[in-house]
Amino acid sequence: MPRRRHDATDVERYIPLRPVEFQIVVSLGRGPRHGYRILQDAEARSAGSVPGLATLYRALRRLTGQGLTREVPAPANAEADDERRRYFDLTPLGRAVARAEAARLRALLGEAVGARLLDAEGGVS
Amino acid sequence: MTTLLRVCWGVLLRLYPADLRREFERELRWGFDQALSAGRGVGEVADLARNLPGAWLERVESGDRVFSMGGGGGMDGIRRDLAYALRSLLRRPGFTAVVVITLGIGVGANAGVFGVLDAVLLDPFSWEDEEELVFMWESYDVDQAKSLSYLNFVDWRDRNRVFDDLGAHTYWTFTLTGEGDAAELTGHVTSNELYRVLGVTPLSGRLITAEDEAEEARVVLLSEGLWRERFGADPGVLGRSISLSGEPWEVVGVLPAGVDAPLNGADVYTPITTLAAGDRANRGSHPGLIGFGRLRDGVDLEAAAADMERVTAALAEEHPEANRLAGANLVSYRDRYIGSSRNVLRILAIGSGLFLLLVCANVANLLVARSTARGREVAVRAALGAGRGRLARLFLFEVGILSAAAAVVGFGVAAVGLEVVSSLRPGDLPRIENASVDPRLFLISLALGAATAMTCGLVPALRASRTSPQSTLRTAGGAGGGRRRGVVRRGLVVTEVAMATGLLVGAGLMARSVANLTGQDTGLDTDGVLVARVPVAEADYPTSDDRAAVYRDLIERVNARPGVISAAGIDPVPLDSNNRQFTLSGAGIPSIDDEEGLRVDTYTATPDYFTTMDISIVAGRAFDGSESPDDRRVLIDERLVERIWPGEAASDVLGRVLRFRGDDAPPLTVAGVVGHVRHYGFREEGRGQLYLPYTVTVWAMSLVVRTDGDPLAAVAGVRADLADVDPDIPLTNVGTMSDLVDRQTAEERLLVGGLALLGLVGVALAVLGLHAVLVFGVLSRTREIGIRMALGARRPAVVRGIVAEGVLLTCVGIALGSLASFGAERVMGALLFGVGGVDPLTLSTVALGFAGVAAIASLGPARRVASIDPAATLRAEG
Repeated sequence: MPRRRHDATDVERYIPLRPVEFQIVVSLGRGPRHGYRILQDAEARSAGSVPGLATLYRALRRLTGQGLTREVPAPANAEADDERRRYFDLTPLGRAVARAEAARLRALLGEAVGARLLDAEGGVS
Repeated sequence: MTTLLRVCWGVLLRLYPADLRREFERELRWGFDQALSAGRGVGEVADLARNLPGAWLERVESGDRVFSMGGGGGMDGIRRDLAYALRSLLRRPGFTAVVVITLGIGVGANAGVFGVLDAVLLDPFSWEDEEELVFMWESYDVDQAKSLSYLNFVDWRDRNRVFDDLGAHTYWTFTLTGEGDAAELTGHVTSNELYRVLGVTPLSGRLITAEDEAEEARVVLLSEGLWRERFGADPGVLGRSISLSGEPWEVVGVLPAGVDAPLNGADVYTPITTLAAGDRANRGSHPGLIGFGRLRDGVDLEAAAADMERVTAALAEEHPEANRLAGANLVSYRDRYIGSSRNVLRILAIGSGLFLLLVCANVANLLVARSTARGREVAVRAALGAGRGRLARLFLFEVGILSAAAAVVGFGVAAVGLEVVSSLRPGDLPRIENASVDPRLFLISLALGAATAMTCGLVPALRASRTSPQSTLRTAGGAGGGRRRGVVRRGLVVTEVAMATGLLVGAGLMARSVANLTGQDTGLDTDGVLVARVPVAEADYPTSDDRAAVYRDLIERVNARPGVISAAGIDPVPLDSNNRQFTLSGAGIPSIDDEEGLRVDTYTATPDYFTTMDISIVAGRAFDGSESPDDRRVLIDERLVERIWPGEAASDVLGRVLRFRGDDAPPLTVAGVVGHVRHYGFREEGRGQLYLPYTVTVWAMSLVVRTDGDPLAAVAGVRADLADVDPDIPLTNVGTMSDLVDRQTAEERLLVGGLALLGLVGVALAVLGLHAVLVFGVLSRTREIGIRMALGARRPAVVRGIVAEGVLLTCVGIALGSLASFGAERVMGALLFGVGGVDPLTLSTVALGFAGVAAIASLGPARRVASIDPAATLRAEG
């Protein structure tokens, strides 16, 4: 378990997140999930960049170690097969970091629009 | 495919840290099954492999961030620093790989060379107290040496006061029949004392005894190899009778495997009474015996030589007819066996030492450069409260990891190198098959490399930590102390260039020597010539006539084969380290000393020998096949003409007569004069030569066959022909004349190859170092160069300046390296041929080549200069 205390002012130190970490926090933003579900989410989001299993679980482990995510009991509505899986959720710190990272990325995308690399709707201009 | 992927994946997962596996294994497996059915199996296996190092690092870090530099005591801190060191090395894989590989090659090359050195020069031979063992033979006047005569051996043995025991041996060949295919065996004819001198214990049975000699018993010892191969390691072989050269011999013992010289390389051992009775009765007969004694306690070689002088002086007085000029030549066992190899190995050792220094300079250069770049990091750490001890430990770990990795690479390099070298058996280096990577020497080399790394990685880092962090942090580049390090690095580059120059000069001198050696005319054309020994047993073919008929029949058959241009018989074969010397009588020939006579290399040859080997006929004629068994016509070479009748034309000596000393038959008549052949290789001119027709005296001859293609392709045909003539005659020592020529320069070529390899790798390292130093110079002076260009300096001039610096550094290095030439003469003297240590051609070639490469290497950094934008530089300045 991490020795350091986390609070909202710590958010900065976790930013930027790696792509795979961002995928995880975005998925968990919709509620607790097990690892493979996160992968399926990533797959649904973008055909191109789906992290490998080992990359994903290492990232999950790292985020948990840093206190951004935590393991939670399987929700009541989980399928029988899913019961044996480990579910993860964002911690408040994790949620704050995810927000900050998303904001950072949005600002970056804004720059991209300004540089006429993107149109405002997000298509490639 | 799926199964294979599953196995790969399973194995990889097993390599992960246990705690991670415990946490996620079930889910990973489930996920992998899904991925497999979705056709993403390969990607998942790759992903698992990619994450493996990281997973371990995280484990070592215990999931904590390692950047906090406070505290850090205890095992936890050490583990963290270790992990950090590993990670910081992995973060620069290029740098790490270059350091590990160069250091590894340097250490490996040294360990390999020292392994050979150790096996050949330093490792004790298997005989007990081998430093007490001494070889001896007879010496006559200046350059004359003879083997011991049997009677002199007996007197030396009985009269000396310096040897515990004195034995003798000579080589012999036998043909083994009746035990599978006929085979030619190498034998040692040994006196019973020899075994006591050496301290041999038989593997089974007994050794040869004085009683065997007294009874002239036909008893024989087998080598372990022959016993195993021919007799299936049957213990019942003792007491059995075997047929050697057509006579029965009783096997009485087997010698152990791996006996050292002089007993090595033989199949059978027989008593000294194997020598013909005539040889044993005549003091003037020298049947090839070499004496072998063990010094008494407290007696050294010099004292032994003095005592032997006393013995030989007395013998000369008692037997003036044979011993008037005879003395004793004593050589220590080690000198005798290591002889010329010592030079080769010493040069290689020096070469690999230079190379290790070069590698150390290179690694030092890299580390100094890196520590410069890390000035900022060190300052940050110091600012965060890391003590110098902590910093030292961190860098120590890095050096430790680098050295350990280099050790692994080095061990591999040494092991592979030794394997290759010993399979080539260069120059018949004795005992090279015993060479192995000696852990002690390996550790010494490694320690030197690690010490270099330590000095160059640690010292600058600690120095940086002493400077005030603020000042370092304030400078943008963070390259504190750059100027001084620039000087250090230039010095290191100069060192590298100097070492590489030394190695290349050495290689160049050896290459020129080899060219000079092989450029000499051997007197015969060796291309496309097959050579093989055809030992006809005297027991089966008792008269010279019988034996001559065998060779005539065989040569006729071989000659009729397609692809064979011509075939002939000769004994002994030139360049094959065998010779037969007879002494010509001085009676009636003023140029020959009456008492001493003139020793000549004597051959028996069939008529076609001279055309087969393309030996020139200078005057008269070669043999024509009309020679009879008592023919007195002989051929001599130009050299002998010059020696006996100096100043006379070859055609004028035809018809003159010669006589062998002690030969009562009618004199020999010179029927023709032929070209001189370099019998003893390139380094020795050789004596005069005399050819007898093969009809007169036939020893076991060798067959030489000139073919119009690959000579070895003709072997099968020759074997078939020989089997048709007599299936009991073996064909042995099969090879090509070209191989015999190549073997003459094997040691020299080993040196050329070894030094050139080290030198070229050295040049590559030196040039890389130079490139790095120049780039660094350009980068740290970007601002200065930009300002100069803004002030009007022209780009070409700046570029020229950079190239000039590169060339200048190289030239200084070359000049220093060239000084090595003066040492080369001393070190390589004995091996150089037709070229001095200070050879302008070699030096200038190396220098020009090196300077050219350096100039090209300087172009890269120069182009960087060209890309500097003065305006941008000035903006950054503002």
